[in-house]
Amino acid sequence: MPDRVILVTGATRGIGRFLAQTLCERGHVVVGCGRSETAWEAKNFEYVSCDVGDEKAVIKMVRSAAKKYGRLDAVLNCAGVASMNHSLLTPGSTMEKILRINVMGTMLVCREAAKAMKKRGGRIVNMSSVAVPMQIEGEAVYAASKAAIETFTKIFAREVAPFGITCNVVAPSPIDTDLIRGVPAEKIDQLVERLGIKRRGTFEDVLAVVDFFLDENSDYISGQTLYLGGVS
Amino acid sequence: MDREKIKSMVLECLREAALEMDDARDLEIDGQVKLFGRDGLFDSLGLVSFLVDMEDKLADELDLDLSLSDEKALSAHSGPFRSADSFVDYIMGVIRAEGE
Repeated sequence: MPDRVILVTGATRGIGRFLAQTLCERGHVVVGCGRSETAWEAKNFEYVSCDVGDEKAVIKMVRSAAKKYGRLDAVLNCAGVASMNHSLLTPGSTMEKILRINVMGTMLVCREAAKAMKKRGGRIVNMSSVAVPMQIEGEAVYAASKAAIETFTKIFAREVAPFGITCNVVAPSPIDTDLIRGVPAEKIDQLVERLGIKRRGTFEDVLAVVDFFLDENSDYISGQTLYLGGVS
Repeated sequence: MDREKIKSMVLECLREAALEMDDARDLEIDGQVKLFGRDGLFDSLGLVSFLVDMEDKLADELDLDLSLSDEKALSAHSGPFRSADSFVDYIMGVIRAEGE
């Protein structure tokens, strides 16, 4: 894979940070964004403070990156929030936040990225979760937001296919990140027991799928959701 | 904002788009050219592409971050795509609305 200009949202923590750092180490130019004012530093890495749920901020970020580097080759939409709670106890403000960051954020970044990729083509990878097919109690709002991303991706992939852009989804099983920090270990262990492959996921598992979607030879693969952990 | 400047940018963008078309349009691109619909310059995908290019041009050359894909505009029968001139009027309206 030749050097690319890659935008990674949610690059300050968790999967997004791992993917951004790995891609930097491989020599790609990575523009990472997050809601923090500052982030980690690395060669080939530029950090932009941006709330992906803020339309004007997303437009500015994507346009600036594409203009500065002359192109945008790929986007990894890793920004996301979660809230594990019974639906009856989930405040509207929490629902709004999850939908704004996970759904609106992904859709806005996809839209602006596709505009920047329109002339040269590109690759977009969105993030879902095995919480969608596993229908895990306590994750109704989070899983619904991820289901929205999967459906959006299927249709968006068709819409941008004429421009040589692919858009796919990777859906990890539970991984030790801040996203599940508040979930009791016992609950996670129960989830792992329901996976086809009974272990927690790793960042490297996600990287393997991202590499597959970004591979030059994957230009005929679009609109797909790939679940990890033997879940389907 | 100078209407003539916007018109010149629209016509330039239209000419660039026409050059990229498979059937090498030999159309005269002026203020009267129809953008979309029966005998229009673009099909739906071409129109999307043109709008994105136009947004880019406005951002690059005039530092204007506008969204030209307003739902009402895209669905209106007598909307901004009946001619290049009406599209210029539409952009002028969007610019005015942004300034308010």
